[in-house]
Amino acid sequence: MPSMKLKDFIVQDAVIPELQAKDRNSALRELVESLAASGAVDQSVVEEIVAALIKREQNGSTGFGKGVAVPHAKHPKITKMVGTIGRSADGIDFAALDHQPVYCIVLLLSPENQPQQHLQAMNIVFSNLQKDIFRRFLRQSQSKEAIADLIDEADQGK
Amino acid sequence: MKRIPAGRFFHPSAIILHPYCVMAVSKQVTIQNKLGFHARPVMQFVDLANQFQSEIHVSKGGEEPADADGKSVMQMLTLAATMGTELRLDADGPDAETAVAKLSELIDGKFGEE
Repeated sequence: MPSMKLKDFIVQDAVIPELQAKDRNSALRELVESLAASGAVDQSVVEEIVAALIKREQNGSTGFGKGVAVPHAKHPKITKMVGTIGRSADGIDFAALDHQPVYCIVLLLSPENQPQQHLQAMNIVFSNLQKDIFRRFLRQSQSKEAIADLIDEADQGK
Repeated sequence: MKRIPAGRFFHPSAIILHPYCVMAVSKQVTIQNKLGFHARPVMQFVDLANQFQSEIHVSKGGEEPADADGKSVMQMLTLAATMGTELRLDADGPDAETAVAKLSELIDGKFGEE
């Protein structure tokens, strides 16, 4: 299987460099609505997806530490893996494992019955999020363009 | 005759009983749940791994080899271990044997999933 890249599923139009949301649930909503506005997600399933993401967080935070969270959900209406990124300058309480605020959110939506695709995407997301320099640049990126550049560089293995 | 320097000689029982004695244990396991090693199982694994003093490493062979600290959620999530993937568990430390036994039990029990 050829390695997946961030740009294969991150919808760059839906990236939000300055999240308006101040809490977890509204941040999830803001990101899903942004995916819907970009056409990557059907408007009619926004509510269901937001509910699924919140439920997933309630079962265990996806704030895995170091200021990042990777909320994710599956939905039958999602036919191709899609994702987006949100940045919060002030930080958002995600009930993270290390009890620290979350500054970068990578949201992933997967089709049902595609566990391989989901694991591949998690692999590429976490391979990057693990790097201090990637997290630092992401946290400093104040525009869609800056985040797009960062994704390009990460995909090229720079 | 060479003299053994003082302090470098241990009775074998001291090695077994000494709490800081390092024991290395490894085991090959196979991911058996349908969804593979996704976030929830990884969290279960890391929670359990953190209950042991031993260092824990998990590695994957094959076409895309990977290696992760068994106590780090972020590293473990890079393994992308799907159903059927073989992983090697390595524990190093005083409770290595129990750690490997309990962790492989969790994997063999499919993390309580299908």
